[in-house]
Amino acid sequence: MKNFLKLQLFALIILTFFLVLAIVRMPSSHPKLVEFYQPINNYILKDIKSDKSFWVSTSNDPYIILPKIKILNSPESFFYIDINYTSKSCRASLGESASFIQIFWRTSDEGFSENKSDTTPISMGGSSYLIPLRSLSLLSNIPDKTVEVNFRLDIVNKIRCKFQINKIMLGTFE
Amino acid sequence: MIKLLKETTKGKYLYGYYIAIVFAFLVRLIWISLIPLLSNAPDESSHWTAVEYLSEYFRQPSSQEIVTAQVGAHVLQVQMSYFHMVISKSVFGLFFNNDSILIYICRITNALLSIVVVINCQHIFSQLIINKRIANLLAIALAFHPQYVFISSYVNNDVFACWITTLSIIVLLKILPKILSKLDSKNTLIQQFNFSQLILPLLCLTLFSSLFAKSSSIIVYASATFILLFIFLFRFKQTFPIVLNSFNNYKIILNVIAISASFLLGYLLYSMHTIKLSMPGLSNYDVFSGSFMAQVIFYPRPVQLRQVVYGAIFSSHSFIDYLNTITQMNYWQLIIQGFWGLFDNMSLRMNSLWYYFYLPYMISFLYGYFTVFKKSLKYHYLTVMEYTMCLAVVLMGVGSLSFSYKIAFQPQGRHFLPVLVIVYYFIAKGFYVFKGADFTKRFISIMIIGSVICTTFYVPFNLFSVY
Repeated sequence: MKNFLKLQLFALIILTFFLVLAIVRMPSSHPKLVEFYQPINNYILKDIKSDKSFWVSTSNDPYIILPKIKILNSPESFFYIDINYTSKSCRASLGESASFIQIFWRTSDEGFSENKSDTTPISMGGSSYLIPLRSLSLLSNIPDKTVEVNFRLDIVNKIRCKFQINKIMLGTFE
Repeated sequence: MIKLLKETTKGKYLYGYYIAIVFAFLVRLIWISLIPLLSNAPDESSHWTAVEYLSEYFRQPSSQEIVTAQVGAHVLQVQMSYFHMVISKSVFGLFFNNDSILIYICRITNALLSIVVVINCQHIFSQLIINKRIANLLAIALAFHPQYVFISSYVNNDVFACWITTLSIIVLLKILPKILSKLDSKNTLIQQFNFSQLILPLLCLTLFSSLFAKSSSIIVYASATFILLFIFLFRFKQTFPIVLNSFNNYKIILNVIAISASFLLGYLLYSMHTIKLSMPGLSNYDVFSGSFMAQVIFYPRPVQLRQVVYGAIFSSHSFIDYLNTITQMNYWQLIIQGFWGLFDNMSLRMNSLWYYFYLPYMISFLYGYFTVFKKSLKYHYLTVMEYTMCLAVVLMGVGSLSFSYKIAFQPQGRHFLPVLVIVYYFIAKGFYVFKGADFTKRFISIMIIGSVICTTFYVPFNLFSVY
């Protein structure tokens, strides 16, 4: 067994070496970040009302429409949202499916549509979400270098969900 | 003559054990060939994407690649759990171009690691149980545990966690007698407090690996730390001078430095990774969700530590919520089904008769578990090890309950597989305390027969008829 343990130790050393190598060789890339300033009542709110220092959803389709923003005509973008869901109503209980954050975008005054949106499930332990905007690849068809985009944040799909938004940021890679 | 007869019998048992191990591997090969590629085993496609990416580039992906290319959720976490498959894929990738063949090769690598885990388990059982025949039988029974055979037969990061857990228990079984005999001033045979040249690197590397693997791999060390701390504080007046005095020994200081270095290396690697990512949000749960311990060492500041510990253990639910969940029969039904084998991803549910077959073993586990508390916590290493194992099962249960609520409510009995070795030990202990060695051997033999029928005939034939 001693030799077998030695063999396993050797395997662990090799695996550790590969892990170190993988992290050392990792390239770094820095996104350009744009922050949407708080509080959110500066923006268009639907079915969201204030409750002391929190916000509460009054329907199962509450959303925030952020102001128009000029972004690089690049599909390599993401949203970073730091949010605390504080009430039980936000959570999926026994047998229920997960709640979602959904981000819609549009370039003109047309309506928001599902094919121009990205979603992420609400994790109960986490308080920050990074949502890659993969649907923005549709923007690459537009010849302009910068595009004016309007984002809509469907913060939760549950009624009476109490939450607190700390930060909303849009990141873009050049 | 009697001596020769005993040796022959012992040899036969060992021979039988090795045949069983080879057979367990063959059974895994059957499962590997039957489980459809990527779509049916849980998250196999995401795990495979991680293996594929790492073997192609031999580096972690940049933040830009994470956002743009769909590298999958699992490659985002910095995990060592894939590198054994990365190595085999890279080597065999030189000879084969076909992805399907390479997936099968990675599955076989995982199956081989699962057999290493079984051999480690046999070693653990032979250390904990005086009767070697029971130890061998128990290891064979574990090799054919239906859910364990399943997770050994596709690409995932669970088998690695099981491996680290068994190695951690082996390390603890080597170092606990030394630590405890030193603390016990009544013991006249005080052993040296330094660890051997093999055990110290194993301790450091298993600690390091648990930072870069599933949280469950750290559970045994976490439990041992709690138990030792309890002993230390409970007899503070007696133990404090001994511990203080031990630090005069340069070998002990070297041991402490080596252990700290393994944590420091983990911290530096995580820091380097986070700096290179340079992305908000990714430095938190996405990267560390694999390892709770990594979150704790990376965020040592009190406020964040509190948040991370709270978030990792209790999610955002209250104690009452958890209490409500664990008092529901539905929860335990799902856990038990998931623990023994529920393969609904593959449209296959085991007949409920199988759960009735395993029922006596579950009862025996509970009996064996609670008999530990008949003995008070004293300095004997076996008692400390048993208490550590009891706590490990509880921590695993708490972790699993918390994880059940992470996104949608998904209780999974599979979470308990890293502590499978502990569960099987308590099953044997339960039978042994109840009716002695022969009774235990008989029941474990029945378990082996049942599990072999289940894994060799029942599930493969049903899978064959499904697909």
